Amino acid sequence: MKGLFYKDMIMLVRAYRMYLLMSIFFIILGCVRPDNSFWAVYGIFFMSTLVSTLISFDDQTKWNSYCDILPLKRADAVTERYLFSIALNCVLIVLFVILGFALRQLDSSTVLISAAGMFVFAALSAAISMPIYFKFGAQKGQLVRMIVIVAMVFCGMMIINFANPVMEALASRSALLLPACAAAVMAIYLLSWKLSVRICENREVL
Amino acid sequence: MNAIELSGVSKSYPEFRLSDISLTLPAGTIMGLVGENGAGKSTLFRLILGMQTKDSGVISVLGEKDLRQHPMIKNDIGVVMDDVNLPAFLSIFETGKILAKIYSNWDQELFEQMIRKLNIPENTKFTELSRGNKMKAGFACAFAHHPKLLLLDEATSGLDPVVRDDILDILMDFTRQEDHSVLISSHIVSDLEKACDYIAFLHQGKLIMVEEKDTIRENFGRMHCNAQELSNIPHEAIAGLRRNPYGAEVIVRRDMVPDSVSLQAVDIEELFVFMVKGETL
Repeated sequence: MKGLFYKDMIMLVRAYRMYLLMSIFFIILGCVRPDNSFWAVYGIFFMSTLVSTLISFDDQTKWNSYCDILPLKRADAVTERYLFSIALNCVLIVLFVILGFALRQLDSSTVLISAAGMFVFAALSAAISMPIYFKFGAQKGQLVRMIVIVAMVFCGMMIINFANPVMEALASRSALLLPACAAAVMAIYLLSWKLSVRICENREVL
Repeated sequence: MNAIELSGVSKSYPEFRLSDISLTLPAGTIMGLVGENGAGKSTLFRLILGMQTKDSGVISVLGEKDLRQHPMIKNDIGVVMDDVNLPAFLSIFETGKILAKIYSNWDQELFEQMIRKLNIPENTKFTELSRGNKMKAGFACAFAHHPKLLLLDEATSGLDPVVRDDILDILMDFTRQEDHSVLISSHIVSDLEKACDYIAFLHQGKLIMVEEKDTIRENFGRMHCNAQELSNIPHEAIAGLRRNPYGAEVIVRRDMVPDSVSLQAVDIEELFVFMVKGETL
């Protein structure tokens, strides 16, 4: 798996550094003013686009077929994708938290709740779209990912606009709810990983 | 231990079927796989590598029956398929760094030696290389981890005659070690005749012959005959025939025709073409 990580890192820096820079830009933008925190979500959006672009590119260049001649299990290639995706998003989230506390434009609960929201957004959109990528290819996976993102943004806006009392109640219990949420999302992520491994192991290379 | 053992291997697709393939690649030998386009050569390679699932039969590669569950055996297998799909935006050196982290017996020095020997542009992105240079890059990657078995599917196509000659020399050097083996498919039958110990003919998904190369030359001969002479040749002696206005051109098994019959030498390409395209009596 080390070699696959290394390959994705080189591709990230060599071919897709603009995505990386845009992600970091939006994270910083989300920290500089209290009413800008929503921009941080765009950072995560760009990062998840990057991961799906890497998968799509590997599909097109048939790197996945080449992987089949290497001493790697197909499960390893899938696992690397999931770990790479979560690692990239965690790096951005950690950057957001550090900047959020350092710049002191956002109060600490906003920083933590936003960070949790970003984690949920990243993990859920990847968990739902990755099996689609592996089963049906990059195009359909991208479509599903966009639908998931739009749905999540819509739900988020509905909750913010119409469920303020609910939000306040949740915020007051955030110390309990955040870890529970994170655990639930990780469970979904793990299930998604299992499904993707099964899909890849049964795939026929033509 | 045989390098590859296939026993009764079959695989079906909607419009094609690979049927009941049985062959053995002994250790220390080179086997050439000859077949027309669509004969099933690439499918056979993919089945051997576990890239596709067989419908029936047994495949054993370096003693391992399930490459999907035990992919570490691929540390000992070097593969060059007809389409080399190395990372598109990376140079051969950068690709080598990736493969060095994947293969347990990667030899960076040997890799660099192969790059120089095959004249592969060192800093050009893979996607910008010519087809021939891409194949050479595939070879460098396949050799650099000291494999015991090489699987080469149309790997010399797109290479100029000089490089093909270099590759064949490398292959013959490779099999000097008694546990090293090669299975190579190619349309360039002259390359196979030069380098191979065994030749296998694959036609429409069926293996129609597997023989030692020298035995093929000893066992088969070509003759021109008229209709009368043709009728005197035992049916089972005929490997293939082509009728012409004056009689027929026939490839026969030498041991099934009288010694008095004058036979000319036949090369492997001719034999294959006659067996595939030849007419029946």
